Amino acid sequence: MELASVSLTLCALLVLFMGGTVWIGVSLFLVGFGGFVFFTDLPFGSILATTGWNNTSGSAMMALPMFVWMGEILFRSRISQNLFKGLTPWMDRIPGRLLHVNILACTFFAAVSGSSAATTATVGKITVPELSKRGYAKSLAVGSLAGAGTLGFLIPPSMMMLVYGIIGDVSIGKLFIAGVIPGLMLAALFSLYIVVRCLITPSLAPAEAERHTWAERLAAIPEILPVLVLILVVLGSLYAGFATPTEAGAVGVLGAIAFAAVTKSMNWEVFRHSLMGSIKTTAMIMLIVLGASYLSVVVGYLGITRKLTLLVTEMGLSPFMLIIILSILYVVLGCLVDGFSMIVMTTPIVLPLVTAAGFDPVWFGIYLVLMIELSQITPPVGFNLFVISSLNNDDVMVVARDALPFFLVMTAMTALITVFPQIVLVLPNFMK
Amino acid sequence: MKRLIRAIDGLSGFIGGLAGVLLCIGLALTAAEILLRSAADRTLFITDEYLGYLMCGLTFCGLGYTLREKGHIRMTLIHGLVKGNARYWLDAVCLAVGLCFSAGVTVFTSQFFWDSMITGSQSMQVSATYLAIPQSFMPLGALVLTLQFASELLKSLLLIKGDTDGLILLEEVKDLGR
Repeated sequence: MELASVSLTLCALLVLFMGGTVWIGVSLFLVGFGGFVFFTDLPFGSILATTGWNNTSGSAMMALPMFVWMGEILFRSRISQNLFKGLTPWMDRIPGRLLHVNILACTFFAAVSGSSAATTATVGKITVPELSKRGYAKSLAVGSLAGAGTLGFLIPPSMMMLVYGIIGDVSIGKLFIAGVIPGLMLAALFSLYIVVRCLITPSLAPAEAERHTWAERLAAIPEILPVLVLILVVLGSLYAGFATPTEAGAVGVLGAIAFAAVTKSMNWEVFRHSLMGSIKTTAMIMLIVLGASYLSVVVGYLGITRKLTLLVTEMGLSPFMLIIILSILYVVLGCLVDGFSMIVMTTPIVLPLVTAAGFDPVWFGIYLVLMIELSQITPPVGFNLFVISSLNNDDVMVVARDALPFFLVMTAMTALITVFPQIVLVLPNFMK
Repeated sequence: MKRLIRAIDGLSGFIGGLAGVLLCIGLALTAAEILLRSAADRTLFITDEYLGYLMCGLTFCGLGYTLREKGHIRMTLIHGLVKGNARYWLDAVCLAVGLCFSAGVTVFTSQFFWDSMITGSQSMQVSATYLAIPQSFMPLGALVLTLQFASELLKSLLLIKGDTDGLILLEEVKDLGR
C-alpha cells in the first residue's frame, strides 16, 4: 500500500480518537491496533503484551517515578518560602529587583523537579502575591513566571527528557547534563530581558523600601543551601558517572525527604500524597509511552519512517531549513496537544530524519524540550498559562500576552542552540 | 450498582497502594545498592533486574488507580465545548472505548503471562527468576483498569440519570506532570 494512504489512515484514526476525547495513551494503542489490523497480518495481541513487558521492565525506567516523587515531596514542602527568603536579599541592586526571584527560584526548583507546571505553581504561589503587594508591574511578573516556569523541563531532572530518552533510545544521563547550559543560558536571557525592560521603564520595578546589607545576604544563604546541596548531589553524581539516573533519582528522593523533615513539612499525609501523586503521574506517562511504543512498532514495520526519511533526503533540504520547518510544525502542534504527546507522536518519525540530516540525538532532545517549553505558554493548551491563571485569576489569553516576550526569548535560544550546537553538546561530550 | 462502583473504586485504591509499596521497595533496593557499593565495594547483583520488575508492577498496578483519580490525560477541546448531558454521553462513549481496549489488554497480557507460566521461563540473570511472577502484574493491573473503566462508565450513566448521591466524582486533573 502507498505511503500516503497508510499515513493518512493512521492520522485519521489519531484525530478521531484523540480529538474525540479518548485518553492519549489509549488513542495511541488504538491507532497502532488499527495499523496492525488494516495493513499487516502480524499477531497484534502478542506484540501488545511483549511491548508492555519490554517497555516497563528496564531498570532505567525506574528513574521516572523516582524523579517525579522527588518533585512531589518538594512541591509539598516549604521550598518556595525558603527560596523566596533566601534569594530576595540578593536582588535589591539589580534593575528589576525581585522580578529576578521568579527566574532564579524557578531555576533552582527546576533543578530538583522535572515538571514545568510544578515549577510554575511552586514558585508562583509565593512570588505572584508578593510582587503584586510590592507594586511590581503585573505583566512582567506574570510573564517572567510563565517563561521561567518552563525551565522545569529544560533544567534536569526533566520528565520530558526521560520520556524522550525512553522513546528515542537516547542516554538519559547525557540528556540531563546537556540541558544544564541551555537551561542556565535561558534563565540568564530571561533576566537580561527584565534588566533591559526595567532600565528603559524603571517604574516596572518600584524602588525597594528596604536595602539589604551583605550580612543579611550571607545570613540568607542557609535558606537555599539545602536545595543547592540536593542539586549538586543529584546532578553531580550523574555528571561524574557515580550514579545511574535511577540511583540519582533515589538519592534525590531521600534528599527531598530529609529536606522536608528538616523544614518540618514532612508527615505521614505528605509522604502518602507525594507517593501516590508519583504513582499517578508515572502511570499516566507510562500509558502514553506504551501506546507510543506499540504504534511505533507498526509504523516501523510499515516502513513509514524509512520512506519519509528518504523523501525528505531527496528534497535536498539544508539542515537549518529542516529545523525551521520542524520548528513551525512543533509550534503549531504545541497549540493543539501537550508535551508528552508531542514527544511520543513525533520522535519515532522525526528523530531518524534529523539524525540523517546530521544532528545529534542528544541535541535534538534539547531542541524538542525547548519546543515543548514554547508550547507550555501558547494558548489554548499551554499548561503554564492555566497554572498562572488559577494563581491570580487572570484570563488565560492575558497571561499568554504577558508571556509573549519570553516566548520570543525562548525562540532566540532555540536559534542559538541550532547555530551553535556545542552549547548543548559540550558537557555530554566530557561525560565519563 | 453504587455498591459495585464503590467496591471497584476501593479495589483500584488498594492496587494503587500496592504500586506505592513497589516504589518504596524500589527506593530501598536502590539505596541498599548504593550503600553497599560505596561502603564495601560490593553489589546485590539483582538490583537492576528487580528494579525492572518493580517498574513493570507499579506501572500496571497504577493504571486503574490513575483512571479513578482522573489522572490519565486527554485532549479536552471537544469536552470543553459540550455541556451537561451531552458531555456525560461523550464521556460514556469514551469510557466504553476504553473498556473494550483494556479488556483486550487483559486478554493479551493474560495469554503472555500464561505462556511464561506453562513454559517455566526464567530470567537470564543470576537470580534465574521465574518471569511469570513479575509478569503476573500485567494481567492483574489490566484487569483492575478494565474494572475501573466499567466503574467510571457506570458513574457516567448515573450522572446522565441524575442519581449520584453517595458517589465520589472527581474533576479531570490539571496540575502536576504536565
